[in-house]
Amino acid sequence: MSDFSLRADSVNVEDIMRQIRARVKEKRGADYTEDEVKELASVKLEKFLDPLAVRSGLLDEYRRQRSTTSLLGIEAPPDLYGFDAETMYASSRGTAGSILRTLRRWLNPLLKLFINPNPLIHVLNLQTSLNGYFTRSIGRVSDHLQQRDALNFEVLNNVVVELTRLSIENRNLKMRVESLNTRLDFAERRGRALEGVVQYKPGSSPVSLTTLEPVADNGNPEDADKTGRRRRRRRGRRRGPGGEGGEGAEGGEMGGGEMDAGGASDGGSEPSQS
Amino acid sequence: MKLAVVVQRYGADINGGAELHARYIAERLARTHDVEVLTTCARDYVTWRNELPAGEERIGPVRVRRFEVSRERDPDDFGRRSFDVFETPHSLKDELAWLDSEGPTSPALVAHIERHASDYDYLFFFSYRYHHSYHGIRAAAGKAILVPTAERDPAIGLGIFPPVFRGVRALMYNSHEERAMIHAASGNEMVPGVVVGVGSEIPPVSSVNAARFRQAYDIRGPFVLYVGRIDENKGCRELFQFFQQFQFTLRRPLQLVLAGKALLPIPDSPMIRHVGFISDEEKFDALAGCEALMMPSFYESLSMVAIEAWAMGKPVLANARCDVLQGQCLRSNAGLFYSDYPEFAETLHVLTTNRGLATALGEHGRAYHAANYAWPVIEGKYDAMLQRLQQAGPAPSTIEPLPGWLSRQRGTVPPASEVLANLPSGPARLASAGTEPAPRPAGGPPRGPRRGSRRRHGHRPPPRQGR
Repeated sequence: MSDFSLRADSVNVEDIMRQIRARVKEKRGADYTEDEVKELASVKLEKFLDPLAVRSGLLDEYRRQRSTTSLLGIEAPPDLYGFDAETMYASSRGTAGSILRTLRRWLNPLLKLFINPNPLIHVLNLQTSLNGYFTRSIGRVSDHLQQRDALNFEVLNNVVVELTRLSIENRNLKMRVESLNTRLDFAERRGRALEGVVQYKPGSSPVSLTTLEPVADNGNPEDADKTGRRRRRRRGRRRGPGGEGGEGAEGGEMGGGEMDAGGASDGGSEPSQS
Repeated sequence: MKLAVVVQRYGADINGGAELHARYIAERLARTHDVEVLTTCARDYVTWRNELPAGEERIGPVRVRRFEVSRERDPDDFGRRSFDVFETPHSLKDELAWLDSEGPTSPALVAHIERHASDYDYLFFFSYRYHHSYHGIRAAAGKAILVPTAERDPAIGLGIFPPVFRGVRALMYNSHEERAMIHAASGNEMVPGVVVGVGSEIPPVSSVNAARFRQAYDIRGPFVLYVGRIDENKGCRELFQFFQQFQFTLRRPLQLVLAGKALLPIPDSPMIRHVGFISDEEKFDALAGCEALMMPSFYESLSMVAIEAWAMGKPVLANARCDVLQGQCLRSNAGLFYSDYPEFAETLHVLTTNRGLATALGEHGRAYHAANYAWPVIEGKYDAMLQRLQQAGPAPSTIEPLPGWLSRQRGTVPPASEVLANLPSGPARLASAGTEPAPRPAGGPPRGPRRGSRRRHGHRPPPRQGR
């Protein structure tokens, strides 16, 4: 990062921060903001999630289902009518209506000679109460379902967003592991190469550059060659009959990296044993 | 002019941010004006216990008049009331009870201000959020000048404060971010205000000796410095995590030196050194020797130590989640900032390895300090404001009265944290003309206006419930 071209009068913190963020982004592999992650979660789901496990259009489908099953779409209930003992005798004709109502009241005893209107009034009254009760109950259930729906949606949304984020992170970490393996491999090889070119002063005991332990100097190039062959043989045995193609490319590479490290330390200590 | 400085605590050994600020300003104003400090007998800001004798005394060039605090703070009660007003819908009565609970409750101080307001030309009130400021300003609104020292914490969202911000004669802000926040919270744009901050006594270069500090504390090799209270609210826990993680990537050793009182366990690492409380001389020696100053705080209304670091020509690495610090870094062109670990690692790496950049940033810092925070500049701004008010003539007390008893009982005031969340955030990058000329290079990109309203996501510690 010390590659900023600088003059004291041209230093600009905004530019420096931009460069630093670009650098961070480059190192991370990808740098997503919250909004980008959400966008990825909704648009490019199939690229990050296992399509067999989670459907890519899951959220859209969920939204569609919500809109069809919602009670909001059902037409509004009719107004509840009020019914009481006076309703049957009422009239809506103003002054004439009130005269009519009075007349009906007077004739009520006569009506009761033919039928009993009281059970009828009672039943209709009860029906009105029941209508109100069911309307309120359905309203409550509907509210409850809507709240639960919102919670479900939020949970599902968060799960999908988190899954996407983890998926991206996992991919980046895999890349980093690969990169670290490569670097480790390179460092090991470099170490071994340096070990080969070191010339020790006469009389001093050679030191392994990888383990920094003194090793016996046989000074025989044939021995070194034998050691190399033995190391390669051992590495071949460790990899087993499956070789590098055992569990896919990544597993193979990781295994290879570890074995290289082991091989290097073997290589450093073997001459003293032989 | 006869001036009064009203502050919650005062003394040579009291080093709280606002209190130190008040002392510096009082001592400076005393050179040209008759200054009297009105304060309480408290020394501890947690309990407000009366520890100093009431009455008059002289500290340096100013006369100090102390008044007793009528009751100590009950932290449990204050915590409960803070939760009520910050997190739930409540009434103005609840807020006034919260203010009483916060303290320092000194009826004698408020009564003195009420009786003797006419004796002073102007009264400077420090820290808007305390009992003495709220009631003192109501007692002398026509002569009150407020130095709010407001941070981005929920107290700014309480309903009792906007009339105070609108009712004072003038406001002396610490930063552009603070001014924008108070404007948004109270709509007090019509009240005269200026971004001033505070200066600091910077010793001459010849008297600063980095080797002296290294020798005194046996510090070898490069180090970055943190000065201040070592506290979670100051971002120190995150700093420790980030710095320890950063150690794994280093090729050459870098130490973190901490100076200040520790309220947090310090990691047991040879690369993190705690030197305890240090004197001003040692502080400047340490600043001279460090690679950069670390400012991990989430809440600052003005970081005096950052300004001192810039005065010493040192770059600052600040927490980007503190609007004020980020704004200062952008305006000064003298510091970098981070919002997560990767940015922390990159910025710290750059500051400690790129000598040219660190020097250039430091030079910008020096220029920024000279242009904005040198004492002549600060004194000039105070004098200009006093002259402006004097020319405008005496103003009647225009502060809005408290609503009636019934209105105060209504629980319709929204939670303060909700109000705070709706205030615009982010650094105010455009310095208003004439208030803070930033030493910008000619070829740099144009600075846009203040960023729009932006909600932050997590990461900050929970908001403080008072100091």
